[in-house]
Amino acid sequence: MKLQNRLTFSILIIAMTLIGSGCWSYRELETLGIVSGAGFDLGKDPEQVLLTVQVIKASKGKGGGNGSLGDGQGQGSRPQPVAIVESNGATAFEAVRNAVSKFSRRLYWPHNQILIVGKEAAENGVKNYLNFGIRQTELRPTAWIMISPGKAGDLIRAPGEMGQIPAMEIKDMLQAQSATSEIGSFTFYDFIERLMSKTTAPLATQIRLNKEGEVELAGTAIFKGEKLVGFIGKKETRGLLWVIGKIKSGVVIVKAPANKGKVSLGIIHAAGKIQAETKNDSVKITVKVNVQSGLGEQTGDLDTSKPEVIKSLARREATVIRNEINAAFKKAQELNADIFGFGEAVHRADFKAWKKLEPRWDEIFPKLKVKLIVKTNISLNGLINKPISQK
Amino acid sequence: MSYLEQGKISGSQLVILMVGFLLGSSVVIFPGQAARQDAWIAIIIGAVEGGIFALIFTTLARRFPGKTMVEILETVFSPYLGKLIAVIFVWYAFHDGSFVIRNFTDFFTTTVMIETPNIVFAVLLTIVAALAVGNGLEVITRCSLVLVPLTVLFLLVTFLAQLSQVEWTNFLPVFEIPVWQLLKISHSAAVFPFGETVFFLMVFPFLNRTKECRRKTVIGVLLGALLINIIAWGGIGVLGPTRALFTYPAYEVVKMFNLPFINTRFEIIVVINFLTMGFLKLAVLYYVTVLGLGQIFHLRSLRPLIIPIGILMIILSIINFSGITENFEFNTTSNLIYSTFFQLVIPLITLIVAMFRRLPRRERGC
Repeated sequence: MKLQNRLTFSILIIAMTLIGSGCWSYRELETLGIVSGAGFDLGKDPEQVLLTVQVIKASKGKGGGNGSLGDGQGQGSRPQPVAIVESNGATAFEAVRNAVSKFSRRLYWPHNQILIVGKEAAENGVKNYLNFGIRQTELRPTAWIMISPGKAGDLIRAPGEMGQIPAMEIKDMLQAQSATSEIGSFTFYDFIERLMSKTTAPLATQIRLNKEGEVELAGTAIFKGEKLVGFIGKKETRGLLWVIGKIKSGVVIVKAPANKGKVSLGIIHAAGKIQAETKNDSVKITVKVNVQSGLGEQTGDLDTSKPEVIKSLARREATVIRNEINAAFKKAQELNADIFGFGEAVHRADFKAWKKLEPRWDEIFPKLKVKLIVKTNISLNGLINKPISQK
Repeated sequence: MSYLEQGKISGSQLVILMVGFLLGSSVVIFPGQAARQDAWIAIIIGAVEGGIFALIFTTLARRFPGKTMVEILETVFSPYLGKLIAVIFVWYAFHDGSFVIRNFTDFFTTTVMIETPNIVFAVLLTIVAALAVGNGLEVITRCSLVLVPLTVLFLLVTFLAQLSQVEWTNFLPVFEIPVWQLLKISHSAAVFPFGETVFFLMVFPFLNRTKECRRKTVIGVLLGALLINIIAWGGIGVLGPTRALFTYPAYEVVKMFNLPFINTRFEIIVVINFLTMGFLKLAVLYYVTVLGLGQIFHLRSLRPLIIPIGILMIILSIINFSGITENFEFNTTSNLIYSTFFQLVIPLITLIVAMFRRLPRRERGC
């Protein structure tokens, strides 16, 4: 190639490498405040937003820092790997930008795991905080959304038990919940998906500080539209999860027949299906739940090698499950919030009828009668076949 | 005027080039979104309609083997009227090229590199496309042979990976929107992107066997429809009702990935897809513009045109719309009629006049 061409080419290549590789807006790690958890509360007046964030201290050594920034209360002597930053603003976006007045680094969101909204802020309407989250490209829609019965800021400040980043511990706790399936985990994205439907109630995990000051997951928060309307406890949450098919594992305790103690059944597989039928403007919903479980333990001395015994246990399990689901349904009808998504099931089945039914769903839902079919099957017995007893 | 372009491409190479062209902007904004959960139906109907357009203009191409659209226009209409219509046709290619640049810069500044000014992306993309155009059709086609299979692989991998997150209930209820609205949305899918294959009228003469152009175009449209449908299924299935929120659904879908150990930040694959396919689409449109102008003005070489056209395309992409909202509004309203004029009306009228005048005359030689 001619020298002139080669020169032009080389300049072009260098220029493109420098510009095209994203060096334009690159930021050094020390200038970033990596957010691991964020909490939204009402600010000084209901129009303001109070943002509390947990920022990871990523230093040149290990991830841990010395001393304790943030609260001196609680476990003040344990070193915290996070710094707490609080800032105010008229909107969520402004609050994020205003953090710069107290904090030397710019907040960097892609590693954010949890979003907590305080009860008052949630009752006021959560849309204020959502739009920021979904429109900006830095916040990930897979962050877990949670509601606290108090202030979100308290939970963000709570130190982690294992000395790790508290938000990561909360995230791990949330993901471990599948062991009991009594707590549902909902992402930011799930919340928005439910919010976009006019009838389905958005849900979020309830998180609170218990009396010992530990972070505890405790049930589910129910919204109507963007406003928080109530909480349900663990038992009702499981009832809800049976129906929407989010049960992964767990334990169902059943009273053995003839008062021979209690039997624990471990859930192997559970699936829930919602079917809707419309007939002349009236709606019939059928919920089918199919559960496979295995015998975990028993405190009495039932003879588990007999099929009638197993069948009886299965029936009792179905009753327990039915009670949980009914409890959830009753609470939902009290709050008039369609947490199961029955409305959308009708929509999917018959959209012409749905057009007429949808505006009246608030009247229809509390009076809705649902046919519940629970099928249980105990397929595994564990390693022993007979009870441990002196017979 | 084949001295302007010496290259020859084979039929299967044409198919791959066409698929890359169709995937162009559709990897991030799949057509038919307004139909909500029936978008995939709109895409299929749009592809059929695009196929009908293709049948019309491939008939025209087969009547005049070895002649590009510009030459056909000059033959069918008088030299002056033909040149005039050719200029209008080339203008459409130029305009479409500026759209590609515009979509490209909008996408990058919205999602990946927010603070970089638009023009940086526009210039970088156009430089690369200009280099490709300067080297001729064969080079562009060879690029597509490498890039398109790569993109298809990425598409399939992301589709399989997101199958676990697809909620099949999101596709119901089917046919919820009224039929006339579905047809309107299908028409928008037909003009973007399937009808844009009309630009290949400038490429057909360089096929090894021009007669194949019809079959290959239909295959290209079908394959493109299948791939775009795969993207659409992912978008509808995973996103469900929220797909209407997002500007770039395909990007958001990949963001949702939750595979156990390949954790996050996979959406860069979508960005790479758009990078490569956008480059291909721009290269083709750029090439069509330059070649067309060269043939209209009987130039001896295309080189002097390349850089000015590139600069003008960048400028048009910037001044065309004041913001991304106008871009989308144009695509959903005015573009329907504007594009149909070029994709259907011009070839159809040319074909009718050609048939009427019984061209090409059999008794002439080559």
